[in-house]
Amino acid sequence: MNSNISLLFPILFPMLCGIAVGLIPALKDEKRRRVFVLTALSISFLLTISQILLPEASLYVCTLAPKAEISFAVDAVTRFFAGLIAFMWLMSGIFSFEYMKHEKNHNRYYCFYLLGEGAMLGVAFAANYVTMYLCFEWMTLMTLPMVLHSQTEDALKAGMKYLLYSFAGAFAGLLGIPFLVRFGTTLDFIPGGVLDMTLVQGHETLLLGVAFAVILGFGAKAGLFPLHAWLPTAHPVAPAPASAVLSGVITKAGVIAIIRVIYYQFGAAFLRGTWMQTALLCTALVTIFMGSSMAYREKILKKRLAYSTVSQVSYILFGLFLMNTTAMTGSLLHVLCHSVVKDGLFLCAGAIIYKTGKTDVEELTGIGKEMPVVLWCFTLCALALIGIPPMCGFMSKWYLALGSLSSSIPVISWLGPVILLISALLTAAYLLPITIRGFFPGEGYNYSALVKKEPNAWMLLPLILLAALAAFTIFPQPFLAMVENVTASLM
Amino acid sequence: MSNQFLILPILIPLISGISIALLPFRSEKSRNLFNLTAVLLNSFVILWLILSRPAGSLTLLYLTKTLPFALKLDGLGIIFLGLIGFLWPVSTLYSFEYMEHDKNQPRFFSFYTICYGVTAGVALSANPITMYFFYELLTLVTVPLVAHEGDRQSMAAVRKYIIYSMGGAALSLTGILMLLSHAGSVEFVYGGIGQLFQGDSFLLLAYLLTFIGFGVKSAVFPLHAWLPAAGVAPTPVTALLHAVAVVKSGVFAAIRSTYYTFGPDLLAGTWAQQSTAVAAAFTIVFGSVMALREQHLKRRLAYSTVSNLSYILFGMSLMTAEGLVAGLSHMLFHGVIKITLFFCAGTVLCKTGRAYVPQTTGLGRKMPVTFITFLISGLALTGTPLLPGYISKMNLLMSAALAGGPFAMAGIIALLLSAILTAAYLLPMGIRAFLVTPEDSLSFTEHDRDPGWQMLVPFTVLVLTMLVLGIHAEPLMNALESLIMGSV
Repeated sequence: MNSNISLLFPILFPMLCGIAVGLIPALKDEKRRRVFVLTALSISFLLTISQILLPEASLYVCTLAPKAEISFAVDAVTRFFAGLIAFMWLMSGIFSFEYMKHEKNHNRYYCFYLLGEGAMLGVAFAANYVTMYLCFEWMTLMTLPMVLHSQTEDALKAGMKYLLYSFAGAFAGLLGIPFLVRFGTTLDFIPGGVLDMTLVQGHETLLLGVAFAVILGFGAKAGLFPLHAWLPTAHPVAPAPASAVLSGVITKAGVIAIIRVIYYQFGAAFLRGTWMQTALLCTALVTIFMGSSMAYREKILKKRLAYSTVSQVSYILFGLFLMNTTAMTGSLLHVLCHSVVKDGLFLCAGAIIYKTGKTDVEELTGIGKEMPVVLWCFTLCALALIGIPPMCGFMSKWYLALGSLSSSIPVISWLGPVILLISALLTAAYLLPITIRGFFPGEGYNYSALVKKEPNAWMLLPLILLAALAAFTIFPQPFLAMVENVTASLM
Repeated sequence: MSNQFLILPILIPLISGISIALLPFRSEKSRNLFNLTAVLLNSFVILWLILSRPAGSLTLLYLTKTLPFALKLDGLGIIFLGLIGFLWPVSTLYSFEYMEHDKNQPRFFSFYTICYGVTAGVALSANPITMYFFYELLTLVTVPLVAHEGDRQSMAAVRKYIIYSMGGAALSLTGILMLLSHAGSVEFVYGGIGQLFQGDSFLLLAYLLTFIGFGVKSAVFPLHAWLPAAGVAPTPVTALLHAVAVVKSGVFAAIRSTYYTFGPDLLAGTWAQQSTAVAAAFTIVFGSVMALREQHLKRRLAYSTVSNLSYILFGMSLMTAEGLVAGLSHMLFHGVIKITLFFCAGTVLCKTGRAYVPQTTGLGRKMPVTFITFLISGLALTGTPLLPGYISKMNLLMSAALAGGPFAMAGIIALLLSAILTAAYLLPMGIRAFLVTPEDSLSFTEHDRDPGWQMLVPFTVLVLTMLVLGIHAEPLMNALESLIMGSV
């Protein structure tokens, strides 16, 4: 491992650019701002990719207080998530340029959009618990203004809900630090965990309880029951591209934190086969089913997508909690798949809102005639999320189901796949009718009033790219290779 | 160097405070200049004393044949003295602008300065009786400050304040007398007399009486009610005395009696320790819940103080050196953060006349500096990393986890609950101030703007302190540790 100051670039660069957009008056000009933000996002993406390709490195930054070191490092998990984060931020950013035209306070939006990217990358690059916690908290704070963006009473309520749930979750997450200090050897992330078993002796129940609280706490960001209620409120009130990163990427911060807690701090060996694992698996299954059924009942498109996020991110968590290689492969594949797909779906919803102002699912009859490209992208993403082979969702769910069946946990091992299947059916039921009614509006549709409303290239480009990626897993080898790289280091 | 200089931090404010009241100053400006100079001088003397650390104690006189009235400067004293030495000049500067339209300024500033000396006396006391003397005196010299407005509300608050404080002090005195009758004359030494008297239940009772007595000033439930009521005083008083000097004298006295008189060896594992831990854990949550329910901004902050003082007491009640250090770090950080929050509330009150939380909606755009300061301090108190509250809370959690046991666990849960409540009672207000346009936005006047330099300088100094402490608290934490452990 070589100490490398360049590790800070992917984190600090977007933040500095964000502050610049917020403060420099010259960037109030629409054209200049667009060029600046696009450059900033692209350079961030390149900086992140370069860190991923460079050999593993770590960087000690400073010590806040005894036992509170700030340091960053690149390891398999970082590589896997960081690239994803930077790419999604770039896609939604490009989409924003057109979308934000019908919103106000552009500079504030881009300022926090970029600050949020830096903090989120910080979570991925963090090399120890304290650093991760720090970035996690600041990410909440930096993304809050995106939720509050419209400044309506609804947005404020949603923002407060977001803030308090996130803080509640984070404080539960904080609980891990004192106990790891007492029972562990270090707070650095070390594959296999850091617990000192001679100290743990006799305190197993306490530690399992703490780990449970910590995971539920970080699970708040990932919409895990019982701290999920903020997500369907907060995600939809943000501008669509912000909802897309909130739902598609920021929920993955919870996933990263949980991976770190399970596999790098407490250690899967300590947690496997305990009551706590069963309890976690049950929570994940409850969330999966609940999210899907709520999405099915929801009539507002963006809210429906948010409920879908609640359900889908818990697929990922379900795989993590199983703690075996196959399930883990499924989880990580689903991280990729869900990020791409949910980003795509939210951007489609955004394109529809931007062009037609329609937010309700019922109003979308015939939308495929007006915006065929958008609805095609939507459909591809939907199929991928449902898990129709050979699209991405199929592979990830396949591995998740296999992993569940191969585990020896009673009931859960077969109940898991059953719930996954039911939820997949529900997913089809809440997404596909939009496509069907969109393309086949039926007899009552007035074709003479039809106006093409396809959005311009700024909006279509990210949509098409994301939809193509969702379908791209016809060639799964590179993705599987990436995922195996991570699982190899975890197991 | 001779330890006779130990009396200076008490005498300088006393003399200059009296002079402020008596000397015929030509103008407000010259009086303020004199006041600030005196306070700064005293802070420099304190700094010099801390750096040179005179050893041994200075006995001024004997109250009886065996009861010395004595001063000394040890590690714990340095910590408290350092805190007030830093905050007093900042607050004095702030008060000038706050009090500028007040009629009774000489009286106010006279007592405000005298309090500095008395609080320093609490910090410098070498034994329980001396500390008791300054502790009582502190109640008396703050009475005119709480009663400053002179209306019915403040008179009621003063009555409450006196009854609670005197009653508490009487209990403490009983405890101290029980101790002295049992153990003879005692000087403050880390570890106290615990080792000699392990398992002595008479002393445990004495300790509990002392703790309850000092618990009044440190606002432990159910003895807290005077603190929110005392919020009627002018904000510089609420900010400095009722968030730092007076209440922390209570905490300081409790620590003195726990670690330096009775001693953790006597108390650890007994019902006396458990009662303090339970009282502290309960007050932590209780204060936060009350703060969330309170709509009057200064009273909300007062309840928040109630809660946060018990953070310190909880750390103390662990009866470990780590717990004490963690508690003390919260004493310092909470002092800096809470005084800033009160200053913001005071600025809003004094510039716009708005006292209730809902009235501040939309005000952030008119007073950006004030409200950004408020938000930063709010985040700091909540425990956001990179700001100091995080470090002390983390230390409290770590020492509690290290101590283990059901009472420490209860405290951990209380701390986490209270952290969420803190976010809920501070942050939404800060956000609404910026993002919501109130329905009656026309009611803003040209007075609704950021204050002048006498208030902005304290804001800047305090926010910078927070940032520095939040990012680089390691030296301070090490210093705290060596100040406490060094005296083991």
